[in-house]
Amino acid sequence: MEGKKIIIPVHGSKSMLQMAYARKLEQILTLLGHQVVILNLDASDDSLYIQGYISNEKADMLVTIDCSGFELKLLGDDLFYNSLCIPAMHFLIKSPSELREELSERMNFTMEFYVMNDEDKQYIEVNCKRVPCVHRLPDSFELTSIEKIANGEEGINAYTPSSDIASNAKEFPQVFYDIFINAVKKRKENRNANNWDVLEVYLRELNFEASCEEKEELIAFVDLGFAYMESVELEEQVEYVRKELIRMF
Amino acid sequence: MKKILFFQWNALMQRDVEEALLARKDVEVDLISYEFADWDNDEYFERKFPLHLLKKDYDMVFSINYFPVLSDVCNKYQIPYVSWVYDAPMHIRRKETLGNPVNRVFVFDRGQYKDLRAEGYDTVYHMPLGAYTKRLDKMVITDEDKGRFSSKIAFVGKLYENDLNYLLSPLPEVYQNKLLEIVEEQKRTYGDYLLNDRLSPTFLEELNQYYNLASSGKFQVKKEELEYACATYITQQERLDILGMLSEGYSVDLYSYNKPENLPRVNCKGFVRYYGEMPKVFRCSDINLNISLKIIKEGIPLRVFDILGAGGFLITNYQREIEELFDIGKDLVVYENMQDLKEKIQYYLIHDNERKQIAKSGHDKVASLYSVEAQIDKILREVEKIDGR
Repeated sequence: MEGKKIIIPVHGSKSMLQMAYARKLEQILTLLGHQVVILNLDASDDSLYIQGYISNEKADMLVTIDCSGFELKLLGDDLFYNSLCIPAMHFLIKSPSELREELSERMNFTMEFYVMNDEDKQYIEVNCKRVPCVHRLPDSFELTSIEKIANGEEGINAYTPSSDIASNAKEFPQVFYDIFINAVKKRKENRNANNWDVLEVYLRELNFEASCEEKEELIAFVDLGFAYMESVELEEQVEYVRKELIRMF
Repeated sequence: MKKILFFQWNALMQRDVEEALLARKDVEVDLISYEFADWDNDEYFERKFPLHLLKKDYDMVFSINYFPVLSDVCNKYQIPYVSWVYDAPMHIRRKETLGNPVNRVFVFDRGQYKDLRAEGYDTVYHMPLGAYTKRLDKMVITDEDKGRFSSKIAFVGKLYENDLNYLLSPLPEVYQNKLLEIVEEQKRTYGDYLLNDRLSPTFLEELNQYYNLASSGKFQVKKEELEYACATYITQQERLDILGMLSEGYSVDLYSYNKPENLPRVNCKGFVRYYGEMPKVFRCSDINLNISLKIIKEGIPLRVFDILGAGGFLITNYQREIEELFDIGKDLVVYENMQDLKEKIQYYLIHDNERKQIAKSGHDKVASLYSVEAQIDKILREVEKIDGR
């Protein structure tokens, strides 16, 4: 299933995190062959204009982050999104307790919610009876990398298949390949691992005293290990979203 | 205990019916929500809805207004489908689905009920609409509300875009005139619905010869389409005429999406939200107008209940069912023609106490006899009777 048009309305000017998450989802959905439109809800104060714009996009699916756009209402005070008559994935980065008002709205049964952890899922199941369906996202969706993107520390890397990275790494001399494998292991253990720390510890374990120039060269193999893990995670995310979309459509 | 799956959409009475259903002790109610892009056909809904419908052993599905697709799904799984319709006419194309045996369709207009029964749809019943006074009575009017929503004369409603001119254009002058005469006759006639008889099969056949010619056989007008086009045209003209006439002597506020260009004296205040704003207009205004859509043959449109339920003073056109449910002159005021309306407006604008007394009486009548809870209760009892038959 590909070629769907997916719209992601976000408060792009008010929340860098929303925008970064939207970009991440755009990457995932684009890899699945879908066309993604990110709409900045802050571009206009005219609610009717925004509603008209979203309707005119004639998207096949809606994606929101932290209920972005739930403030758009129809004449009877209902959610505007209900009127779009399309499936929707609503990702919650914030704790659902912060979005209680939004989550108390009447929602189409085609809307599904995705939360970061078991506690959030349980909170919704107990407190938000109008939410039609809630899922806990796999760990690969955790927010560290998104926060870095939102803070401008990192960009969204172009995707290279993990299998390509791995086969490329196998061509390295053994000593460099070992650095790569160690980096993969450390990054698996700790998503927040720092590349330089990983290298320093590894070199200490080997009792190898490297010069600054040598470290500058060796860090590339650690970074490649980290990039490999990022690709693996992205592939997990893509696979998860692919299965969800098949189920929803 | 009966299990009801309440199918929700962006209907006007949605929240009130939901609250009224959930408050009942004798039924277990689950909610499910969906917005149809097309009420008649929705392949996605037909595939996905049964997953929810079959989760429990539901005794009925309940909805506001009637949906052919929903009826088909209920029919497939043999689950009774109860609908309470506030639209006249029903905006559906697959009318034949009304005959699905699982249906219990409650329409508010007895005229519509009689027509559908005459066509053989014995799944159709009659039930007037109501107002949720429990909610409306809690409404707090602030000073800001008074400033924003007070009117001498208020009208909340559409000015109806319509297709009559489009339907007139392919006809020769003689038939254009005949059609316009019918429209004028209906416009002049208060309290009687003439379009059904005047747009006879013979007349329709004659018109269709010209539509045939003009469209090379591609277009034929159906009676329902022509009737609706005429009715909306008449309603539009009547509303414009009344607003124009009244604005010559009084301050008139129009709450609508539409902004009529040829009524410079009418204050166009834009649309108001159904729950948060509209009742405030009704409560804060001296006089509220109801000018019914002409296609409603005998029934009382929702707007009448909206106004009375909010404690507003109402002047309305005559509908046969109004005098069955209300005391005219005591609960509300009815006008019989333009001149009569003008005189009644003049009278009630200067008789504050009388106006307030009538508004209170209308409100109390709705609260005691035609609340949403009471009407739902009548529907559920009627359904029990039907199913026990």
